[in-house]
Amino acid sequence: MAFYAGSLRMTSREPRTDAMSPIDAYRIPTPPFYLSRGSEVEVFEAAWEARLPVLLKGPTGCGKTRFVEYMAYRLGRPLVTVACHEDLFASDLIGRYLLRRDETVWVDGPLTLAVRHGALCYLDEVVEARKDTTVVIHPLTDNRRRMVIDKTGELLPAHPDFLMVVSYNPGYQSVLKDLKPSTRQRFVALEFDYPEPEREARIVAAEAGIPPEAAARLVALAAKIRNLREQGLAEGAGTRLLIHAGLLVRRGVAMREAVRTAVCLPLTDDEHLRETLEDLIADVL
Amino acid sequence: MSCEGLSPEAAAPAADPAAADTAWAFAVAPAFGEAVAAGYAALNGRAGREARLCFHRALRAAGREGAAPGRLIAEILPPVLLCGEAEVRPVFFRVWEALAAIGLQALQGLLSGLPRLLSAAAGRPGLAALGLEVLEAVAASRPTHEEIRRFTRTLPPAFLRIVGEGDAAALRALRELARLDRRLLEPFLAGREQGLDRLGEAALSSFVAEAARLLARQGRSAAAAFLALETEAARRHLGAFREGARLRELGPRLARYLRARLGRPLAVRPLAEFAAPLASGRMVVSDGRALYLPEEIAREGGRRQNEACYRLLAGLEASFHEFGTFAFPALRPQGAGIKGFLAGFPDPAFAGELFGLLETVRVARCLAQRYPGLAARLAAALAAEEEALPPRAEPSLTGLLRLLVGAGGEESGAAARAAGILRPLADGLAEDASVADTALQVERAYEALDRLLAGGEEARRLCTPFGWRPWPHPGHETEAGPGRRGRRGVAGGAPGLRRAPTAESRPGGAEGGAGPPGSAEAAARGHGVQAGAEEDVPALHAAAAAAAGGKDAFRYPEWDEALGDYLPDHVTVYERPSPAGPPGFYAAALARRAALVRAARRAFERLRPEGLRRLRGWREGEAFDYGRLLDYAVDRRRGGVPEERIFVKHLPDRRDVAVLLLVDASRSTAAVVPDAGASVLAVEQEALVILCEALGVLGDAFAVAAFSGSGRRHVDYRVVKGFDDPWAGEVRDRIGGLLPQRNTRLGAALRHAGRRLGEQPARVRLLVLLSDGFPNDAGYRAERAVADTRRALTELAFRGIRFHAVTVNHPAEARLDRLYGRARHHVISDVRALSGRLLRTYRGLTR
Ligand SMILES: Nc1ncnc2c1ncn2[C@@H]1O[C@H](COP(=O)(O)OP(=O)(O)OP(=O)(O)O)[C@@H](O)[C@H]1O
Ligand SMILES: [Mg+2]
Repeated sequence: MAFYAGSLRMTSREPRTDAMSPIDAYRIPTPPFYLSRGSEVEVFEAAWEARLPVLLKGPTGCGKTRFVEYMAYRLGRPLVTVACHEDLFASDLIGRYLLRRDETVWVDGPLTLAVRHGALCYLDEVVEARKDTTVVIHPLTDNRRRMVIDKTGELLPAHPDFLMVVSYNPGYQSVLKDLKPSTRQRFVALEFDYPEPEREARIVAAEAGIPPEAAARLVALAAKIRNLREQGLAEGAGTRLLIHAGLLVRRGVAMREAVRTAVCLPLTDDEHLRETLEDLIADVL
Repeated sequence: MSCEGLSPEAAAPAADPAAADTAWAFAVAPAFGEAVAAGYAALNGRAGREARLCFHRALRAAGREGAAPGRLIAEILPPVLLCGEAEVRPVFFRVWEALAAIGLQALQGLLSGLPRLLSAAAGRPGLAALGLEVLEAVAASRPTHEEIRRFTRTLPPAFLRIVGEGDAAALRALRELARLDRRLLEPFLAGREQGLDRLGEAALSSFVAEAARLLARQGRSAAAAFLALETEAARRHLGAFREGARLRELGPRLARYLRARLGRPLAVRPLAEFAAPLASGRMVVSDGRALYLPEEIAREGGRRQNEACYRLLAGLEASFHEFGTFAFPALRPQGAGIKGFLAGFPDPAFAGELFGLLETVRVARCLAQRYPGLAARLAAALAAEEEALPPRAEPSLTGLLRLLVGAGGEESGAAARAAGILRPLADGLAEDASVADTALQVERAYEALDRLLAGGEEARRLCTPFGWRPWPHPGHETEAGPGRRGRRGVAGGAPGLRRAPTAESRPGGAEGGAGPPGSAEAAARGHGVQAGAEEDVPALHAAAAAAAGGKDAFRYPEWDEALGDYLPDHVTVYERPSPAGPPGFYAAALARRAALVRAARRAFERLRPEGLRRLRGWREGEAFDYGRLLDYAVDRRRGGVPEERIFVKHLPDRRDVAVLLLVDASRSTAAVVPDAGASVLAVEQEALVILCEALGVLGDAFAVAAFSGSGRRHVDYRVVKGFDDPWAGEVRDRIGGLLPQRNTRLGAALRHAGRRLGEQPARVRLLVLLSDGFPNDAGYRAERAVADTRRALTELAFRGIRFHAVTVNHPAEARLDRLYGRARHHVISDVRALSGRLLRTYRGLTR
């Protein structure tokens, strides 16, 4: 049922040398479970047809990654995901020389791999990346559609099926880490928010394998917690947290305890907010 | 002895025994005769034949023992027989027998007060019997005569008081203690004087249980001391139980809770601030902007229970808002909200009660659906009230409420019929019903219930726990009316019921209609009025505004903890360059602290970047280190084990740090630090000199500013050194020019400093605050100031700005941890430590 993409990515760490192309490891073999919430699937397909890069905006754990996995599967394209962080240099995206036997071999970085083979490349939390990455991102996301590999001197035109997708969480970014307009304006943007309650309950029930009523309770609680955004909570409780709570419940942890461990503690260290979360738990559960 | 204490001549005489008994008693002793006559007179017409017979037998039995016991029973038995409680009589006779076995003194001493006790217990079922059971236990334990003499003095008045207070729990405790050891009674009574009387039932019984444990383990004197509250343990125990909860402390938590429940702010205010008079016993009411609760709740149990009571009240009242009770539609032509609707009924008051009942039922069903935890607590509250109420056979609105909300209640006869009418209607108020459906069911139920409950006023009145009810709403008479409901644009068509003083009654408040959704704006206005009275120094503000030309004025929001929301644009910060002081100050400080400055420079030099652009020797990296690559190749050819660390990595070669030193220059910093012989500000100034010198060595971008202020309209932010100012000349002299003045509105100063730091393109941005205590300004004190400061710090954290506070000349205490967060502040008692501490902190935070 729940398809976990993480394991796939792990097996693909080691570049393959056999007959299989290294990109094959990034193909998604089984359909990911994704419950659409509006027209995002159609819009994404249209953007794909026009080869317009896509920017996904939204709070953490609301389904952005899952959506991209689902779209990659739907479009029959491999998906290369890169989690960006502040020590991510352009070279980490492009690739590097490694030693093999007595020679130095060039190994494509994830982005180059995607560009060469026509995959979707998903740069998660793109604002976290170092500024020099824009040098690579920009020519790939306007009508040049190409990348320059400076170390090898290669000028690589993007595969016709290549598409860049980036995600970005406006919630807790500092002003300085905002995307530059010149970057933003290269993308079409899809806004994600927490699914509406009924849909979210179905997601939680399906992903965690718990009865619909229990899932509905978790979702009802989350709706109240999300009202505390900007009350000192940086982020509301994402769907992911609810699924985690559900997974604990399914393994026999009592509901309250599960919510405390999977939702409250990860959300905040502030004792006042925790009190309020406890008050809500006492009411809803 | 009992009525059946049969002696031959006590066999029921055919005629009324009164005359014969009186004559016999007079013959024994005149006083006895008089008492018997009075006794029969009391019974006359009020007691049945059986009771008179009982009196007769008891008289005879006691009289045979002597005139004194005869007279006593003649005096005390009639009230026993008349008290109307069946269980009192057998206990009384058991007590009598037991005391009689001890002696006349015991009988007289402990029982002669019984009539008064019984009259005090009238209407309080169970108390009299309980009181007698205490005496029974005492008597059964065979007290000495000396003890009886003491008990005679102490017990009857104490019992009388307890019964008068209706404190059954105390009597139960006494009974329990008397059965354990009669010598614990007096300590308990003493403890009751000391505050045990304020314990609720459960708390008291747990207290007594603790005493029993002590008795078993450590003996009587330990238990006695505990009961008399003479021991520390006892007082702690009591403290844990008795403490009431205070709105002042719980308010912010409730406001946060309401925010989560409703998705918009609803302030929490004391009940006394509600504009309209409230029915007695009503503990909660709300209008469109606030929920009103008692200043203190000290009911059953301890603090936790009382806090739970607050949360229950807030949770219940919030439900009216969440489930749309106050979004009452205009149903009828006369239609102005609920009141208009009710006016259409022959008895609007009764219709209102009925509406209250059905709407409460509807809301309770919504709760059961969506807030099972809260619903369960409501059911428990209803059940608890049920216990306190005398059981009633007739149907009543109150009884119906319990039936329909599923908190038990009897069903028979007319009550069953009423329930039969109402239940299907209530079931029509299922999950997705609205208040309009409630109104519809009121119309359907009205006639039938009006007839069924025609009987008593009592039955036609709805009685709810804590007086929590949707209707009648006490604010209604002064309410603006639903036509204006949308004015503040509260989302979801929320309450039209709100307090009288509205925007238009205040000068300058007439812009209400333009307000954004949510009531932050309205609240801000409310605060403006309140704070303005207290803090305004208009001339000063005007001067400041003129001096600043307006363009260096910055507006910041402020967090209102009571409201649970920000007050937008609440505080104005004026940024100005700080005036330069006497030219020699900086050089003098430098000379005075030469050693420290040298040490600081050395410490900071070690922080200086190594200047290494490339880091060598990595197993992987961006490029080869060609020298090592060669070695590697050679090693391999030779068949050796080659060193694989042949890559280089690029790391930033310069420190990417910006720091802002923010100095509290409020009036309090004029205070002299005892062991430094200088003012707080002077100490801060010296520390600035040292730190700035060290920072100059490092080359980190840094700025220095001081702040003070008076009121929310005027926070002074004086720039000593901007990030772009060179550290030289006049800028240095500004440190000496700092003067202690005015107050500390810390949140706004932090926000402004955060703005300035936020403009710096550094990877590490650090704000260091030097202060001497807690924020304090007009309308900015205690909890509110702390909460706003904490909020401002959270905002900084969200923007990726690190923070550290150093407090000078203030005892370390937990409140400072609350203010800044434990890991984010230091308290310096010895000022010579200040510079050192700052350097260490700086190193830790910017490494
Ligand atoms: N619409 C949906 N259909 C199916 N599953 C969903 C949906 N939305 C969320 N989920 C579930 O929520 C989990 C978290 O979602 P996901 O990992 O996609 O979040 P995200 O938006 O990428 O968060 P982050 O910004 O933290 O990376 C997923 O693993 C998935 O189980
Ligand atoms: Mg993700």
